Amino acid sequence: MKRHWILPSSCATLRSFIVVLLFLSIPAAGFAQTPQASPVASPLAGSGIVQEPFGEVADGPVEKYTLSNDNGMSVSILTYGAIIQSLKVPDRNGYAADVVLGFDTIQEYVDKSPYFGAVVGRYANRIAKGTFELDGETYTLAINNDPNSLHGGTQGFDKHLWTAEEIQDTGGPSLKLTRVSPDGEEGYPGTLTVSVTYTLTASNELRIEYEATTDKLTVLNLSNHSYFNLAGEGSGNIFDQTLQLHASHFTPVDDTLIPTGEIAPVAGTPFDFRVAKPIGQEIRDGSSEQILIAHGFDHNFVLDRPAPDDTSMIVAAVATDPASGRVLTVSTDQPGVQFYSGNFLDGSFAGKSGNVYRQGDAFCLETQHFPDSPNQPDFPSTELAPGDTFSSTTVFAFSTR
Amino acid sequence: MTHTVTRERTAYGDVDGQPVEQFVLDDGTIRVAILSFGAIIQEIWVPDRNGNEANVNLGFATLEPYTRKHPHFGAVLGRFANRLGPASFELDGTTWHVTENKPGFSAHGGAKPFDMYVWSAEEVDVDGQPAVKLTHVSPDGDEGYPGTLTASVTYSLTEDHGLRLDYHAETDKPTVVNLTNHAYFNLAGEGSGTVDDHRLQMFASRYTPTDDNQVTTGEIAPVEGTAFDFREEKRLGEVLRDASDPQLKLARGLDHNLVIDRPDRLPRTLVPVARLRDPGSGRVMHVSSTEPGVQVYASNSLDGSIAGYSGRLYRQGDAICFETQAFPNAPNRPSFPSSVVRPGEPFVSTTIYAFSTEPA
Repeated sequence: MKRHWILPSSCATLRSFIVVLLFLSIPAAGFAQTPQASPVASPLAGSGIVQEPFGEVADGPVEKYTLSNDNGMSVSILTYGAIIQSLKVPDRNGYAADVVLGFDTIQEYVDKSPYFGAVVGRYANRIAKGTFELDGETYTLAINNDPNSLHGGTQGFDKHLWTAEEIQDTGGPSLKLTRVSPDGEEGYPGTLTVSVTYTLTASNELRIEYEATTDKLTVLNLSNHSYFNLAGEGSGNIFDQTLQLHASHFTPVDDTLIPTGEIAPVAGTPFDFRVAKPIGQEIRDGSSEQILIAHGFDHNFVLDRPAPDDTSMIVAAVATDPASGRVLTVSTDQPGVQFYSGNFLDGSFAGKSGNVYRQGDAFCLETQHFPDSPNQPDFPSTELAPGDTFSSTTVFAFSTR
Repeated sequence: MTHTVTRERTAYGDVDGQPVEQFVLDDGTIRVAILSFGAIIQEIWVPDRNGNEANVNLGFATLEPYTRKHPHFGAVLGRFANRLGPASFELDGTTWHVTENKPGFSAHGGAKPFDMYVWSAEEVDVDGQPAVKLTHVSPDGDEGYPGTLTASVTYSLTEDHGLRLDYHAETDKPTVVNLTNHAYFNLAGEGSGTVDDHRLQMFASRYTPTDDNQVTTGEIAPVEGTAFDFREEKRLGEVLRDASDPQLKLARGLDHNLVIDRPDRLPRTLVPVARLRDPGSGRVMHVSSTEPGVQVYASNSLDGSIAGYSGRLYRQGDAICFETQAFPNAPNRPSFPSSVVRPGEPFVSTTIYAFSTEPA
């Protein structure tokens, strides 16, 4: 185990901290404990990064990097898929819970993960019929979500090893993950050099900074597919958790979940989250064709911006868990956010807590360009040209209420 | 105060030219709508602790969606409810092959179970109160089963605000029978959310484990130390997420036959099966039955794709079923109570779903 501390700290302190955490995380008698009852260990003094092995995939060993700050928050990142494997956040009383769905072993990620915590690319979300035209060329992608291509194809960015590098000169412990996606990978043109930098700040923000360059004209859409449950993963459904979206419009979909091209107002629909409301409030509204198609929410919301080409950082979403007091504020420079209410979780497997994930046990807020943009001339462009650098930032900020 | 039940009978469209009727039984506290199509329980209106009524039974507000493939909302299933695997059985030295409507087994009676037929309706009295008797005649060889089976279910309301189901079936040749009702309950009201917060107590010390196809293996196992131990009340949300039990994981939640305790050791007396309560509304449901088993199913396969009675979508875990029954696959499992019915010895069975409230 390699340890790197930004603030001075001894290995002995770290070891006792880990022992305390292990002790506190032993479930009490009975089963299906909610992961609420693990108080933040006070020995945590100083932020830092801990590196540990996390098993192996066909391409080689996987490492887990855990970034911690002074406020009892920590995030674990895997070099496989640049996955956020764990995100421990204190509630209003200082009790930490892991608020993202995931697994304890790499094999589970390989075998059955519905993109838990992963960076998805090259093209996050769907491209209709797995084909698009660029500069007069037609490109063909894997149809891995019949009849469409989803999240970069059969082996997207979520199923590759990334190269990790600890960065020490930012506002907190920081980890940069890089990979080079060869020309033609999954049918996409251009050699793409892509990096994702995760930084945990002292103010309980997890910053995600994406960068990419190409040697040929290509298309690109990068997102993180974390599944949040602010009461703690495995603790139940998220219907009482509230959501506010800074979006007056959304992009309705056809019955294969491809945008129709319409930019529809949310007013008067269950998609109106401009004022915070419980996620469960209208998720069963069978009069909404759009909800029926997706079995809930699984839609791209068009973030309200002063101008169509504005790329300033704005608050996209605020989610709260009234019971624990945890608040997640998502900020981004992207034009859209996919709000997904965990509709395809079906109780067929368990996660880290040992508890099964059932339908509606989590929500995703995937900041992004609009789905199927390469085939939708009216959507903001997702093209990246040689010589240009794609750069984008999303922040998951945690607080309590 | 005497218990007075009213009965309304209304024409309710038709299926393939056969007229369907709706019967509403009302005792001033609970009100139940029954369809002659599939002998379906369409609505069960029950007051909460403040007297506010809700329909606690999942289903549809019109006939048409019941005539298409649906998850057997409120329906009577037969001839042999639940899974028979393989899709054959031996009776008196003869092997009978029945419709294999799922790979490796026959489910809920075959390709066209009893809930896809119009039953003939008859107004009857039970304990001097109006009730409705629905009858379906299944011809000899139907879905591969031997014997002409005349099956009926009589719906009535009991003094303690129970919906009572009296099944009766007779045959002209030895055969096997398993009749149940597949009603989906949500005591907070259908379409209102999940039943995660409901509390369940079961009067069952044993259950029948299944193989990977969810076909019973013949084993009768104690519930002690398993997710199926509801002898003391449990909150459903925790149990449904308990991955430590491989049986529960296999079914993606509760979908198992529990062996109803019979303290009197008599085979077919009416005994308590389950007590379900919703702390939010204060509604309580007591299930009792003469059957040996009960399939407890936490609607694991509902997925938000069906808009129900109130127009709201039913999602995973939005309801729970108590399908009182013979043990699944009993014809192939000699260790289970017999499900054989012979001429002159009719099958008789009673199940009651009784409703009350508790204070906050």
